[in-house]
Amino acid sequence: MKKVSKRTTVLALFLTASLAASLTGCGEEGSSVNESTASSGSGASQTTSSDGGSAEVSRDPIEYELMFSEAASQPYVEETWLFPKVIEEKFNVTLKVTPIPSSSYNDKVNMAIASQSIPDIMNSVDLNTLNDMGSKGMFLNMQDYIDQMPNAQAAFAQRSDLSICRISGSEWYALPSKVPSANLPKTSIDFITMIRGDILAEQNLEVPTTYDELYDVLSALKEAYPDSQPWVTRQKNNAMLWTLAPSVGLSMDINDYTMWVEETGEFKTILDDENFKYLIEFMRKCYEDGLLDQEYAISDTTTWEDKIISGKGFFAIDYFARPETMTNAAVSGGNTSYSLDPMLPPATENGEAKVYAKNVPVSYQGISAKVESPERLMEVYDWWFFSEEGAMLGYFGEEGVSYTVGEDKKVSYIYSEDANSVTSIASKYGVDYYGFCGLMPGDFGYTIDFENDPNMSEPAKATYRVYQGQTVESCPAINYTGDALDARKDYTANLQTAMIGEIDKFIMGQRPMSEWDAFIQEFNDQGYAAYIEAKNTMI
Amino acid sequence: MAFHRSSVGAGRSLWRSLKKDYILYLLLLIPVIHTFIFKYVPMAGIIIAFKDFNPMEGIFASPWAGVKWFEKFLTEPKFWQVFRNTILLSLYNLIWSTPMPILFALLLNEMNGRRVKKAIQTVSYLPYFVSTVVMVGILTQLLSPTSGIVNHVLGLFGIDPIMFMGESSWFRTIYIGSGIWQGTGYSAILYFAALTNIDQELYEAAYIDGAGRAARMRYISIPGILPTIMVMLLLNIGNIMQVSFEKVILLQKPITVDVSEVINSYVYKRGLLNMDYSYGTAMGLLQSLIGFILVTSANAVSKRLTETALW
Repeated sequence: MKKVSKRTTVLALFLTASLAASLTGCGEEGSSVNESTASSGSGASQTTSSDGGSAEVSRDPIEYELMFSEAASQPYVEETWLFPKVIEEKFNVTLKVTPIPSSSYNDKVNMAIASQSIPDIMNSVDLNTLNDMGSKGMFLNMQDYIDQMPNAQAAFAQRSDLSICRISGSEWYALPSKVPSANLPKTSIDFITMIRGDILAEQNLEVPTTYDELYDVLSALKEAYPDSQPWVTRQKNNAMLWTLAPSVGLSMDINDYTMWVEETGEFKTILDDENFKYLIEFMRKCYEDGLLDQEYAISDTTTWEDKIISGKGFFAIDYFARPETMTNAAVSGGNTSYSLDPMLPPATENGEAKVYAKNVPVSYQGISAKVESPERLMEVYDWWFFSEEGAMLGYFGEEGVSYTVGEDKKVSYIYSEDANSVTSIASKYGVDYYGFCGLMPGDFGYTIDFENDPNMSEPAKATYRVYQGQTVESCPAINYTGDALDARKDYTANLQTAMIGEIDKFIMGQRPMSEWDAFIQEFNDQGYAAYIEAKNTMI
Repeated sequence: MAFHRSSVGAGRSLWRSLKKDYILYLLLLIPVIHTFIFKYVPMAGIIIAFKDFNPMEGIFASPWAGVKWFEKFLTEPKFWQVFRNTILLSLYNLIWSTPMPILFALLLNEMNGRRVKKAIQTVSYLPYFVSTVVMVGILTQLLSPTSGIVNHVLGLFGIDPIMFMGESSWFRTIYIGSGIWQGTGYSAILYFAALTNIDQELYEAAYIDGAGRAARMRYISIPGILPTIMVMLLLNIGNIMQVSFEKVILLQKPITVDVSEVINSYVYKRGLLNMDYSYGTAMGLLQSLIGFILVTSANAVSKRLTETALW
């Protein structure tokens, strides 16, 4: 971190003193932050006590280095991104943003940690890493500043799921980013099922609601388009199975093929569950009959996008925003009738046609323990990540610039020539970006006025309509420490990818289902059972 | 006293030589310093393998762990899998990749027509300059079971599409095959150079004596480049444990991880991604140790059998 020169500091102090003298009685700027938070807050939870620490925080200009994982689809644009400008104006704090390509970001983070050269703020760091290195003294223990963070206190009091960020009552190293909110389904739902609505209409087919119907629809599409492989995906089998698990009544952990058993209050392997095996056999059948992409296990994003846009595939499991982005891409490419529609997952009598509601933030940030004037940064983050105003800045941008608020806190986007879709608004203004927003506006009662949005495509609106309220609870999130963390690392390095690969072999018919039990035993022998045991100690 | 005199003499001679060719020695200093700074100084980091490395405490202040990480690696169920994969991939690579450039150079050497020869030579080493990422991308396209040209051609002969990139049994073939495609032309340059050094009169004499192309190749070309072949073989053996990490990671899919996980890729995942720095270093050290033993043994064997050795 670089502090500004002495001459500038003296000048700033002089100007501040002059301004303070001319505005006697107007109060300190520090308290205005709290007043602003309180005045714009939707409830008492966001108010600040009059003796909050922020009133005493210095107003000298200060600069912090911020390293973040830059998504190729949302590159950093210094001129138009809003949060650095707003934060500088509000707190006199300059965030020197350093984008690192997301493809090499994890390597960079790990190298920075190993060499003790972390920047002041590091976005998108694994929770376990933050906790592990934080407790060793590398990251700032924000719990030491909690008394000066009224908005964070309120958030922790209101949302028990935020406890995942803390190791204990006295240690807090992980700033939560993009905390899911049910009012904004895009933030609380990961994967959904989707199907080409225009093709279904063309073929007089109904949206399938059961697995038998799904099989029949995929078969009919295959018959109509023999060169196609109706079910295409870029996701690994664990993501697809995780999306479908509620439909057979299971509470699955996407990371390790375990399931939460409410009765026992413990995790167990999902692999020996008959309902899970039903899903495997369904996918195997689809693969065998050419309904599931023969290359699904090696497919990447580009290949998948090409297939789903060009009509080589019709059904997919992917992120919530994909019906919109794929439809926009196809329409702008000339296929004006294209419509990738959201659909609820098919269900069996054992489950529900729903998806999991996310219960963990999208990512976490860490602050260097060596950061200068940590109280300044904590003040910024308390406002930015935990207050109503900060949530609006992070998710929607600036009122009058990127959005307006109507009745009942319904938000409308402000479109422009170079920001004519929700995606391009996010790119232009640097909003709805992991690492740059904490709590979601949904927590303060805001929703998106999607029905009256002139630029939102019909599939995007339909996604909100179809999935609003259609979620079930996820399995409990685990914060690993100590021996359980070691077991988790062993599992991740040794078994995780191998398990995905072996399950692919069953789906693709490279291994017979008669070997399923032997497969479970193989992995138990390699430490899978012991890992689950260790995981259960952390509940 | 004779020894004393001779060492003094040698010292004087060295000093004279230094004085005389100081410019050359100064030039030599550059690679020596480079090697020292970038190859020897980092070796101090090996100490991490024997410690419970904590970045906050640093390399030297972290507590000692003895051989804990070596034990952990050697007793882990994954060890034999990654060790076997590394050895097999390296061995197959050695078997297939070493003779290919030799064969290519020998055959091209027999060609008439200087221009065609040059053109082939140039085209052959171009793939070497294609980045691994691009090369893997090309492979993925070519080998796709639905749109790849390879499966298309196989289909013309009634063969069902093969999931080359998604079947464990094809991983090594693809890895080594693509290596041959990429490296043969470039590696052959050394053999071309060695072949041009062979006295042309030998060929002419053999021709007059009635030796055909095959005989000339067998009795003149191959013996002529044998020292180069041996040196290259020894160097390759030294790198036997150094499977191309980048290519493995790019080609690796969950479905092929059982054959594609090698020590290098495992070190990356474990050491860097999982941040088990000590564990990763221990694995890397073990790998280097095996490589060192192999190259020393191969050097000794080569010295005894062919009188050609690295040292």
